[in-house]
Amino acid sequence: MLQQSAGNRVPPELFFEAMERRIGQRCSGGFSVFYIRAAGRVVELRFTSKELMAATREQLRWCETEAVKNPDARFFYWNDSVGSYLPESHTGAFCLNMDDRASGAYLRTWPEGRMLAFNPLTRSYYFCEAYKSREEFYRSGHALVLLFSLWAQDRDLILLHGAAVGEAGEGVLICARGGSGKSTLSIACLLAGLDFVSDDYVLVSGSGPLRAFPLYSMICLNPDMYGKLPELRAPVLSVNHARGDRLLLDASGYRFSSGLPIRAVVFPEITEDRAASFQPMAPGRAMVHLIDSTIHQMGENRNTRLVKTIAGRFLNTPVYRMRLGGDPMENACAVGRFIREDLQHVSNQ
Amino acid sequence: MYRINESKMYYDMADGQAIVINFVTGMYYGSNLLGSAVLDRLQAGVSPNSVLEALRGLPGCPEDMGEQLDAFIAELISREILIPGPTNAEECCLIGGEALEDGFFLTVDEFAEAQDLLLADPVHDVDASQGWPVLRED
Repeated sequence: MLQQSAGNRVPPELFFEAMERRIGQRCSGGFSVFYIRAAGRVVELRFTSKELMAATREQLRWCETEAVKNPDARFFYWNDSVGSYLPESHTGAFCLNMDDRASGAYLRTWPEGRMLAFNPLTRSYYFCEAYKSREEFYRSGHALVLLFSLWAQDRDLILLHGAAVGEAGEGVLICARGGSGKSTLSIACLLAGLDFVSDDYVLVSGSGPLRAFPLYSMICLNPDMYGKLPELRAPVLSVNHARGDRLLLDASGYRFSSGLPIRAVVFPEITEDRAASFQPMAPGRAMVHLIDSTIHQMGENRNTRLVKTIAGRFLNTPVYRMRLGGDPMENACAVGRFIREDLQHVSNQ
Repeated sequence: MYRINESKMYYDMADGQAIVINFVTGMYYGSNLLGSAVLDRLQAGVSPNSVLEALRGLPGCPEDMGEQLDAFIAELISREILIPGPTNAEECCLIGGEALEDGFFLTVDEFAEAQDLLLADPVHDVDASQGWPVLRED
């Protein structure tokens, strides 16, 4: 670790000015811009290339909104590699870090050249990574997930790796590891006419009543599950051949719920049962899956603050194991019945 | 015997690795494969003697495994992961050879922010006249 003296410190604004100059050099023709509304806040997204903007926009279409003069935050996304500027002696998980609690300035870089940063003076968030083809872009998952997670933490929100659906204005959070039926169950709920917030990432309020908000309108399904949902009408955006030909679909043609109160956590398990069933369970397993998958997806596996925040939000939320039946649509109907009847009953007790 | 301290800890096994999360402090704990298998048996109410017997039944068991197990349990207790609990006589204690893939030892790992040392700081190490990404030569 390099030793620093207070006398030679360069203020964060100088760093961010230099970075914006650098972005500007890469974008002499002006930025490609669009706006989204998430959890009631408007965010401006700026890109140095139209191609990059188009690929991101496809995933956020449902939340897209009109331009505003004073957005809540401004995101910059461009292709570059900060790795080429790192001294050779810098190795390890994180090469350069800044988390200045006093000013709120934040910077994190990865050895492969990605960079995530926040300038509190301009409320600007930055993400740069090496150029990716469209296929590589989709293979790396949901666009700007690290940036949204950082923004969410600054806005008393949490970006969770989970699904959220509801019925009659009441919602449940569905959490599970990959391959446990989370996406299929939530997408079946969408098709069954239940309230739908998300199949994979969901914004959750960080304090006050627990509430889930949508962000991405891209949904993901394994090809065999896609075959079991023939009524799904969502254009294919990409196929992830590296993950068993997982389909990435644009569900923005469907109606999303703009926000749902979360009354319970549902932890689905694939079983040989014919019909779905629900049982209350101790929160440990479900919470480990929710927290572990969230912090790994966000690259935050050392962030004790985030772990505490997520755990604290769900401490008094009932958790139910859902033993999945064989038919996705019947499972979705079972979720609707569970929320309408069983959960209402528990809430009224 | 022992059980997970559920007033502070979330616990689960994933792909043979134990994950323990202290939801009060936000601290994260893991263990190597053998440690995970042992922790899983202990939290299910299997007695340390039965666990030790199972470990000694594995090929290549070190002679000091008894001491290692005692130290492992002491660490789990000191970190408040395990607390006294009921014996589960029905719980079978079998430990498979796959638990030895990363070695015949028992560890508890703690993951916290402090482990990520800052190797350089682009705000403080940056060349003041040129700004990022040019770092100061010294």
